[in-house]
Amino acid sequence: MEAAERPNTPKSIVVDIVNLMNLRTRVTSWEDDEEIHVDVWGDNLGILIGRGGATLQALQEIVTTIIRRSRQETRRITIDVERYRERRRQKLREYAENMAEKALSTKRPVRLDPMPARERKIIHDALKDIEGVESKSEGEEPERRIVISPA
Amino acid sequence: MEANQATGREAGVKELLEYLARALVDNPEGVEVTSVEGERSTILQLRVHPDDVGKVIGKNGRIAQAMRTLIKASATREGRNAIVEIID
Repeated sequence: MEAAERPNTPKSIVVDIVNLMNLRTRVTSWEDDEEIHVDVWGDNLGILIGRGGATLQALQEIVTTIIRRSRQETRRITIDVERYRERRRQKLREYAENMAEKALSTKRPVRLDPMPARERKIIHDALKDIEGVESKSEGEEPERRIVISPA
Repeated sequence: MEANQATGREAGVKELLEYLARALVDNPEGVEVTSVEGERSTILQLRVHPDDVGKVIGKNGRIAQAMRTLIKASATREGRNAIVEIID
């Protein structure tokens, strides 16, 4: 197969996959010592993001697995679509701040919606910077959720 | 994919699954996908070399699940459903 002969990079694999999905995109990439980052740009790419970012996460997992098996690569591989991850992170931080405020003003624990582990981590990290509240997770996946309590 | 560009034909979910499976396994020549087209659904049966079954399933089935998610997303674009079966 021709694909085996050319050097596979995270970017080239993403390009192949979005082409096979018949999506019109532009793909850019940058890398540093810790991370290889691939950005996909285009219109109507909601289908590549999926509900709660599920399709984007699947794409990232597959590309990471392909790269790890075909060459020595230990850096983190991150794929984003139209800055979805960045925007989602910002929204989750704001949500965490609002819910912390609620816990503080009502002096009662606040239960958040269930979310995947990577999103809970963003919330936990955001709450570390807020005084007077603590957070823990409860329940089983995929219903696991964060509870914010006044400390 | 070269053939698709030459003919201008849109790639289908079968080509996508073949690509993903070949990139994941040690024996790409052992990858075989057959598709059965229903009215609204496509059933894709994936066969790989016996040594590669674990590679396309992954730990806790994560890779199989990720492939299904991508294939479903691609099929949705054409208003279709797609089901991936791994035959071992």
